[in-house]
Amino acid sequence: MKKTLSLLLALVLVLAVFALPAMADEKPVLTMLISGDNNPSEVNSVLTELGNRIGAEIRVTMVSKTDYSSKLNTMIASGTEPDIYGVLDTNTLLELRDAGRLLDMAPLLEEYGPDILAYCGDKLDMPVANEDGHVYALVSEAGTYLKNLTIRKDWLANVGMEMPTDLDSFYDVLYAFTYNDPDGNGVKDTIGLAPSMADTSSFQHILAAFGIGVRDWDGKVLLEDGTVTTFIKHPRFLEAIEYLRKLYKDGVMDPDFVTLTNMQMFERLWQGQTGIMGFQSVGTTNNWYPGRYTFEVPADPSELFGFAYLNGAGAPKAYPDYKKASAVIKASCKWPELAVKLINYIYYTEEGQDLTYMGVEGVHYEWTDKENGKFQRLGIYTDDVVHRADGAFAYNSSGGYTKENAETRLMNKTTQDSQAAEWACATEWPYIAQVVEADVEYGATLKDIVKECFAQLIVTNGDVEAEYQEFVARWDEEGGLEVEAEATAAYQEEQAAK
Amino acid sequence: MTQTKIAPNRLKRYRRMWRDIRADWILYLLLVPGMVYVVLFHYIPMLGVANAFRDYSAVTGPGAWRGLEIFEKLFSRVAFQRAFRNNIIISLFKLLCGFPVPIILSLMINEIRRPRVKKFIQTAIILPNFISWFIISGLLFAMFSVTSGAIPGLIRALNPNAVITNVLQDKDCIRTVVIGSYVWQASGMGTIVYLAAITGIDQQLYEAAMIDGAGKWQQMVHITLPTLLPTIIVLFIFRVGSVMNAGFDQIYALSNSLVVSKIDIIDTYVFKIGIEQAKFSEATAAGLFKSAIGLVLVLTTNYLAKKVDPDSGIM
Amino acid sequence: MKKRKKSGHIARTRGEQIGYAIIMLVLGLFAFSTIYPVWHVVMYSISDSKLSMSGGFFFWPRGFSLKSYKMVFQTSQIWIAYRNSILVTFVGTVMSVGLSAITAYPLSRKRLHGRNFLSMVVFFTMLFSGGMIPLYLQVARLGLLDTFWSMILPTCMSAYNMFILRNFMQGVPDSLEESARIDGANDFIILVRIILPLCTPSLAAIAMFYGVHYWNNYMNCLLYTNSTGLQVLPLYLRTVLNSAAANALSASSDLSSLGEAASVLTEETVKMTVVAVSVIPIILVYPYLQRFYTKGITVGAVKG
Repeated sequence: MKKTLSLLLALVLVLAVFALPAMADEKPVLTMLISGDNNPSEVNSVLTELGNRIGAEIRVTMVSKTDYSSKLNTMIASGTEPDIYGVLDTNTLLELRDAGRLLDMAPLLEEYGPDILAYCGDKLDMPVANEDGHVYALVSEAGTYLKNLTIRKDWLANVGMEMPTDLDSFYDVLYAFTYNDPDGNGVKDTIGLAPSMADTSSFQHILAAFGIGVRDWDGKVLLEDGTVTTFIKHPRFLEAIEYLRKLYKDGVMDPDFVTLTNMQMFERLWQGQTGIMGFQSVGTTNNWYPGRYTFEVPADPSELFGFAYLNGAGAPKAYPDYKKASAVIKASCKWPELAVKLINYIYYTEEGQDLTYMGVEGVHYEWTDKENGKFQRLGIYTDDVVHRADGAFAYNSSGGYTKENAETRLMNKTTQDSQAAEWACATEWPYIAQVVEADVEYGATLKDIVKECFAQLIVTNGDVEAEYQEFVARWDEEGGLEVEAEATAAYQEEQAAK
Repeated sequence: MTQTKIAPNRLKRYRRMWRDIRADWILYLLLVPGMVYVVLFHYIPMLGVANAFRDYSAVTGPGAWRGLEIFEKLFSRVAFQRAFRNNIIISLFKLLCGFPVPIILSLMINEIRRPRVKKFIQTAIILPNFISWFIISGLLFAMFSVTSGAIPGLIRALNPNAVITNVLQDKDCIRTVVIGSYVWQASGMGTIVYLAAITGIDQQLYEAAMIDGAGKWQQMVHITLPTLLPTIIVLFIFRVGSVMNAGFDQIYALSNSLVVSKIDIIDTYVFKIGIEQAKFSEATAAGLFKSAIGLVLVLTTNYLAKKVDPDSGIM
Repeated sequence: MKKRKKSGHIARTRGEQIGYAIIMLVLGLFAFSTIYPVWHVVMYSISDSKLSMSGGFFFWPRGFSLKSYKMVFQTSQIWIAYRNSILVTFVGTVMSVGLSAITAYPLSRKRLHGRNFLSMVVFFTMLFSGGMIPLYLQVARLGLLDTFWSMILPTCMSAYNMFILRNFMQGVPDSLEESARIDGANDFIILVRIILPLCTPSLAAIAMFYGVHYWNNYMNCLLYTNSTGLQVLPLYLRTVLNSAAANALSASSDLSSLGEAASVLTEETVKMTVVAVSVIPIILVYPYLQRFYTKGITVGAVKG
């Protein structure tokens, strides 16, 4: 008995000896859940470097955007959520806050998040989760690009036309791009407009020309009487539909547009089947340039592409989505200071943005012309896959949370200029910062109705006016009236507060 | 009086049962792992169906009890009613068209005389099962696209003035496309069990029949089909039980703005409201509703099957 | 009327010959339509992205490029994922078939007390489910999170497969069992020595179903594991696929065109490659399983 006891004691002592020093210099560990589609190795140069700069071991779980909510919800339900994560749906975010599961970063910002403070300033209370000086959530302001109406200048020259400025001249260009052999190969293999219904980007400039600013299918407009409602109730909506019907009937718009995916729409531009694209120039003149185009392109994208504004109206404005949280820290995080420091560093400092975006300077890349955002990748890292496997571009795929960030700094001039020009004439629409409950409740259904209405009215052989009335009635009946009432009240309240 | 009479009977029955169990203990022991599994991974989580009757959030867990409120709310939504209607129509046609095809295919394959050809066909027809619906929908687009599709091209070649519509964006045709492509995609996999059953048939039966002068058709009607019947019944009951699962992946892939109100089903509807907001209670309620329909149908089918043949059915 | 030939075939009537021709024609056409998608996927995946963009049908590759395969196979992660997937599929299938067999056998015996009730207990699991979160909490409670077993155990037995097997076992006549029992065999020995061999075709069929399930299942891995070391192939391929699509949508920028050689690989090509990479192993393994349920059993054991 005594023997066993002493043996046990000895064992405990030995264990303690091993355990104590480990506890003494236990290295801080921060866990993160990031929505993204890259698959870097568990241990990689970027993460190691980042860990060294922050003074903590950083463990990241990457989950595809499509699977992110499932993963996060199960983690939250079992209390195993990581230290730092993002929350995509408002209700969950507010519940987390009210249940005391989110860290209030406010007291730590001065010391550990100076760049957050400097950048956000007054905007810190914009995210819906933040109230009364408490900071529970940070929201990314990156990637709020405007769509451009990009048109091939060489095709315009081939058919002898100028950049369109209004709906009539735009129609003429579409007609010429369909029937006048703009690519000069003697075959009728082009189409004026090949839009996709996946989002509104192809239609934004046409609608804007009628005074309708719609960034998404659930987009709202402000009526004269002050009502905020779906854009299909805009007084000029049917006029816009008539215009689109004409495009459809005259064959200058792809008859398959309802089934076209985003990617098919892009591919039609890439291989020269269409010369017009309603999409952010970040795609057309930057990311896709020149690699994705199957035809010969000049070195300077501004020689190939120009940007049109119909009736002087640009794309609808973009706002950061303050209804969600790009980053929160869980309340039970063991190293809250380091967590704030990490977020501050990678999303709000230029140095951290560059590290997580391009990799380790001197290892993965070197600057050739830092002023103009020119760099080159080094050695084996010239290969995308190798570069990303070593951690570049994975943890910060939109370049940071700031409006000017690693991504925008590296864009070519054409793209930067076209974005600025688009902002200068952007179309206004009633932006509501707060949550509209009815929208959450019925939004998905109403969006389907709006999309069906839009597509059906363009293709129908029946009575457009009657069908339109039916869709409006359906929209009203299936929750639309509630949305209208709540949105109007919320908008007016916010306007009054300004 | 009657109670005292029943008690000894019951006791006797228990005693006999206990004796049987002792004698057959291995048989009962074999059941243990399976039962432990269903309890651990199905029944305990199944308590979660309670969430259909109360608020539930991932953050705070179960909330207040709501009785049937969540169901009422769900059923009162016009979009749900539409999805339910579509679900019934699509499910029914999938069952009617989809169920017999694998049986017919199996019987046909069984007739193939060359083993190599037989094997080849068998492998070939299960292949679509491994191709995701997004790729199949891409292929359908390649077939039906007005501008570049193969079929419109063919029609145009025959009749240059034909008015062509893309059936994938046609309200009247889309359900046919959904059901047709389902039958095409799923039938091959469906033959596997029937072929396994046909393989199990004693070859001597056929030889005896041939000596009696039975032709191929008679052999099929009098030997193959009766042997397959128990399998057909079991598979049918299962199919009926899951009839409300109208194929989320397929519908999701074939959906577009013009046809969504024709083919939106409960699963796609729930998925959409789930994306907007984590509505766990409503999703659970919708699932429970589907299951309840399945249960009723299964019990009815099983009852009918037993009436016809007491040995058939699943319980 | 009909004479037996030495091969065992009998002379066919005219009607039977026509019937046979029709059967072959129908099956031939059907098989063509089912082979084409796989062919399409493979041909597309080895085509040059720039040429394949125009879409349509792919009877032959357009140009030739293995760039997408290079991209998919370049990282060490895919080999980890392959290894995990093979392990999960193999271990999972063996366990699942075993569990289904030992559950199906007692439930197929009429003398089992409570047989209907227990069958119903299993059948219920097919109809009712508590949803994703309750199952996750249970997996967490059992301490399985982030383990290899979390990818197998939660979906270890499907009621559907179990009932198929039970149904076949019911077809085995009692007489065989009785004679074995007289020889002193117990139920376990009867199951292993008599029942299972007689049910080889159906065992092969459900092994096929289980195998495909484990090979394609990424949900278990996604929800229950966090470490990259446990990632399975379908989940890995899903991220490859999604990253390809996300890059073009350019809500986030694509670095590839900022760096040197611009990418000429489209998302569609990557998608096709990913499908090919996950489907080809199944197609290669399938014929081996298929053998078991195409070879007839002539022991005269299974009743009609």
